[in-house]
Amino acid sequence: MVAEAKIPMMHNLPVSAYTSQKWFDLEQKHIFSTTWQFLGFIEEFKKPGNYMCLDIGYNSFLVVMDNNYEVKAFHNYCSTCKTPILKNFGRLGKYIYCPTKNVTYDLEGNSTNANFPSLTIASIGVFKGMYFIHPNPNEDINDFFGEVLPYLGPHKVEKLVEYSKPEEIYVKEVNCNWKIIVENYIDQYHLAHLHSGTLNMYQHDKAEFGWVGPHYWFYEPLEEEYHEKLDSVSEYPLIDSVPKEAIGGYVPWLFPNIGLSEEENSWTAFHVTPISPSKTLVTLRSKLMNLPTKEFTKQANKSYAEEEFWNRRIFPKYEAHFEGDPMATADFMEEDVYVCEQQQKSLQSPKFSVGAQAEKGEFAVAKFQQVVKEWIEKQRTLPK
Amino acid sequence: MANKKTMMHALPVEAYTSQEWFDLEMKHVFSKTWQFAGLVEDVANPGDYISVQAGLNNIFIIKGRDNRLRAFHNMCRHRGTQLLRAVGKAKKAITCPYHDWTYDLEGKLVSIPKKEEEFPDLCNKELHDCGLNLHEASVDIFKGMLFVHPEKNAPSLMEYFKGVEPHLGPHIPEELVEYQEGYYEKEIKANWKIVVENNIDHYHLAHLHEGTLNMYDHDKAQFGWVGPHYWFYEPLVEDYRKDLKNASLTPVIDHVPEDKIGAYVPWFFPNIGLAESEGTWSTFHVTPLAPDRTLVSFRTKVMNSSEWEFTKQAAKSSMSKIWTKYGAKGKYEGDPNTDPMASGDFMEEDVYACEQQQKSLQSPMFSIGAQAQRGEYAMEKFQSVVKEWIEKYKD
Repeated sequence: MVAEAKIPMMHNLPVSAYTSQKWFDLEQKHIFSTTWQFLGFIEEFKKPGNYMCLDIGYNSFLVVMDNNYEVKAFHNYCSTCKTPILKNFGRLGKYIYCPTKNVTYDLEGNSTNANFPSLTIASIGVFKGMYFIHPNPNEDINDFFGEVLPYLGPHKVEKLVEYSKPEEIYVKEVNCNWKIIVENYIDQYHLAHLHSGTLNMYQHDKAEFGWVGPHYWFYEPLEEEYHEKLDSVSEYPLIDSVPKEAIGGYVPWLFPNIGLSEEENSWTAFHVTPISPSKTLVTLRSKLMNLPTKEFTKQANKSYAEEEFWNRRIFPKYEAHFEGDPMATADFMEEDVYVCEQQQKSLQSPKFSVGAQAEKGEFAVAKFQQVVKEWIEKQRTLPK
Repeated sequence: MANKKTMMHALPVEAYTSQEWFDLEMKHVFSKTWQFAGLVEDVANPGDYISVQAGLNNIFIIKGRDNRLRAFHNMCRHRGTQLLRAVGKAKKAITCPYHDWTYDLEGKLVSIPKKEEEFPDLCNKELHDCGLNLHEASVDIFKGMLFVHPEKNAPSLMEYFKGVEPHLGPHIPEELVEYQEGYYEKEIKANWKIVVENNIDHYHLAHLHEGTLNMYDHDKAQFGWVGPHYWFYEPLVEDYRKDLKNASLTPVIDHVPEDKIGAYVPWFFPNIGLAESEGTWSTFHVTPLAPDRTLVSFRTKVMNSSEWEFTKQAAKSSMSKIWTKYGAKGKYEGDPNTDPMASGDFMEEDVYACEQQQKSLQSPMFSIGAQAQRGEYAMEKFQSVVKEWIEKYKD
């Protein structure tokens, strides 16, 4: 026995889970092809016949709004010839047509010719104003997310609107494994340190958090002065569906790859898509109150006038080291991206190890790795 | 039958194209050798630091308050986050941006935020006795260059270069100054070994560089190997030598005795070469990025003379007849701005040849047809050194 044969570990997963193609493939198959996956906001589908195609994990989906204004999901291949039926997105008439074998389906996936089988159905679920998709038929989204719902913010997401035009949505390719990003998101210990100049509007010491099933929930109250002056200092109009006593930051992570950031004045879905073992796409979709522009201008002007208040809370962690130094931007997203990429870089080092774990503040990091491990093990042993 | 491995000289072609070989080299060559990190003046004052990717390890060198150089693995012991960026000045302490764990300039852990609350069972000794100090690496200096080794108890750098040292130029790099405009960095689309082999290939000098390096007397070149290192010397051509004081582009390096003037172009295993010439002293550092991508960077030093001296020398040089006959002439006719073979720049010619060779490696018809006994002897030798080094460390 060679003593050095010990596998280098993160907390509960081997380092290779963050670097190897083998682990990436395993996760694509057993996690991303077997869970509820974020599709978009409910208002994105407007008209019967609207459709979009997307590949998630090992599945290819076709999502269509039928004539009853109901969104339906199918596996995107013809049940007869087994080739993909549609590409990209667009608008259909009354039928879905497969030219290869001349097979026609209605928008509910039924073949118009009784001799041919219907499309393979997938499930659609609505949760907090978002559409999710699941590869199996007849799945109920509440069976998966229902138990964490009581721990989420009271925000009525359907009443909020997305202000960014599609081209303005925050999309960033981050050079690290997707789990590094999740672990950063659920790490309470780093908030007061990495973000010492960017997230001072919240009381990190009073944060409450925990797990329900595979999901993580997190809440922290606003910092006292910010709470007191909220009406004038808030950058955007406050979200009126949140009662004053419930205001705070609700920042859950829903397994496997979507986080929410439900705040006093904005509501954001933080969606993570693995691209390769060391590349991940992060997409932020934010919603605000549905108010006329002048209300936003008015609130922004009030907030700008509180310059002194904000200068005490938002400032760069370090002086700029070079042009565009993320650690000098005073932008917490840039700070997070920076440390995630810095952590990934070290994973190839023969000397890499995790030296210690904060009992409370990093509890979630270790727990998340456990959840990933157990999910894969469970799926691998399921009868096919 | 058709299963015979296609070979370069001593290595299979896949050593130049496959990820598997690249990984093997990263692990067994670049992570187990002394690696060039910079010049001594990069870390001049206490708190100055420089970091370098040395194979799989990222290592930084920092000058302590006691003016001593130390090297550490650039990795926080908490979660592994890389601590320091490329270069920096006057650090008082080393703090990880992620959770503010802090180390002193000697790599000792001095602060953990919320230690009592979050890490009650970590260790009940002083923090620097908790086994969480930065991993130590080694740093040493050779010819004014900084080298790092990932192991704390690395083999001696002096021992490593001892055999080749007598074959190097008499230049004293510490007395020269860096010429900032002389910094050159380029990503080449070829395996790192192609770049090295080009650098040590004597046979090509009179051909690829017939119009660019003809001020040196290639026929009188002397070269050989000592251990894993290659040395090379060639004198100036007679015309140039006679008119050197006028013709030299920069002030002639005055501490090189007249009878020793020439070009010393050694290659130190695995990835750093020098070009020690009559007027300049350069490091040529090669960093493999992928099986078919390599970063090369040059740093050049010149005499520590006034700007006026440089202007005067440049003026004299431009009037010298030498340059009508030697140097700066494209090999082929064409637009010198877009065609590397018409550029009159030997680096462009080399880059072009390296990339063209890499392209052919994927061809099923590729093979080495012949090897120049003398002029290409070094290439085969270099390949054997790589092969032996990997074999030595693999188990």
